[in-house]
Amino acid sequence: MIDPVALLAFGLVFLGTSLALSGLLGAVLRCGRFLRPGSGPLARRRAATLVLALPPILALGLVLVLAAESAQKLASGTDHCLDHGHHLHLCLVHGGDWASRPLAVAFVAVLVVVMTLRSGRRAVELLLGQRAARSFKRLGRPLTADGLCRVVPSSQTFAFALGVLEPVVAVSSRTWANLAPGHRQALLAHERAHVDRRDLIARELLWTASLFGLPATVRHALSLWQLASEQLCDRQAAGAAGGPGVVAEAILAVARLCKTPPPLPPAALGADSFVVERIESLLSDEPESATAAARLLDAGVLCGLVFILGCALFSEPLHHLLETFLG
Amino acid sequence: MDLLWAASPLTVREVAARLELADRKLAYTTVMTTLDRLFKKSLLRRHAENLAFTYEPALSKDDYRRRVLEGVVSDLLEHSEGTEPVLAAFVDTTAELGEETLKRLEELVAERRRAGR
Repeated sequence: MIDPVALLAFGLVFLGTSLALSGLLGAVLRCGRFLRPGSGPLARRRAATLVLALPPILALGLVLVLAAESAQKLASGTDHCLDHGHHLHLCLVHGGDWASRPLAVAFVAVLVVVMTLRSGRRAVELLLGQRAARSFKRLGRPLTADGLCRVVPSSQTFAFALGVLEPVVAVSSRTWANLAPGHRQALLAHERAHVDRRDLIARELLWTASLFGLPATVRHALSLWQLASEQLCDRQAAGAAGGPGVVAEAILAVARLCKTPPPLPPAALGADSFVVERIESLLSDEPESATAAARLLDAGVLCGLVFILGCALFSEPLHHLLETFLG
Repeated sequence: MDLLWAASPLTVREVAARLELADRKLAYTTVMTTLDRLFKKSLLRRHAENLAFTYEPALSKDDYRRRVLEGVVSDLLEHSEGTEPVLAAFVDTTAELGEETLKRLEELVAERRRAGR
């Protein structure tokens, strides 16, 4: 019979490993050449994705390996827990002693509460976004035959894609009225690219993974991912709307429009202003770097497999090492 | 609201009857309560006529749509403040983008256009 308290130790191993890997990959990301201009937005986005997604996946892999090892020993009757009672056990049945460690319990409890609160808040924000997307779809004036893009009556300047499940592109009437036809086309093509690439879903998945990462790494990687995604959508828009120059002009036209009142709250549309980086990338003929991105994915998968395989091969010493380390 | 925009003023009984014709049968009291709530939200006007109220829209359909959407936008942007945004904006806040930077970028784009690239 599995002791629920025993899972506490596995939870600690998961969190510790995920945070440690997040720190390690964050350092690799900062030192790597992916941050340099010219490395290509696809490669930068892939690197950021791996840095955000790999830590919890690998940590879960390690925990599953350790749990499987424990289950296998219990089933085969080779469980050694009762032979050495001087430390706590990473064991599904004999790990209940963790309840006597108030610090460990408090640590995990605080993390669980913080993550639950953050997830709950995010869920509310997403529901609100979904509700807004439905309202825009129902009441906004359609701009395209498929009804994806809508003009929303507003005296503010904005244009965005919204809605994870039922996406919509909303453009304020002020923005729409002040753009030239070519710029309007570039704007819609850019936002449509976000929908086609499923950026909103991908960002939520990465946000969920980022709950188990180091805050500094997460901030950096999410920002890098966001910028690379914008640059990729700019390129897609350039292909559909008359070239990079038109897209760059559209970005600047909206940026200029944003400077005149009424201004939006500073954090409403994102904390970072990527206008400079996007325009410079659009005009510099920077390659997309599909090959580098594919290599990165291969390297990420390979590292992941080696890590899990290593954990499985050395599960016995790893088990004892972690038990000693955890107390 | 759609019924009242199509024809007004209408009494509660007339609204209930038209809903029933449109395969949306609702109890008389439900329709009365709903109309009363819309009146209290200033979306409807009402007048007493022969011991009954008649209702008519206080806003045109376009004004109503504008009001609802402005509320939605305002809610969305206020709730997004200080958090990771739930939307992908074409241009993020330009708080840090000065006039000089904008001019430099515009010149860069114009140069590129002149070069015909």
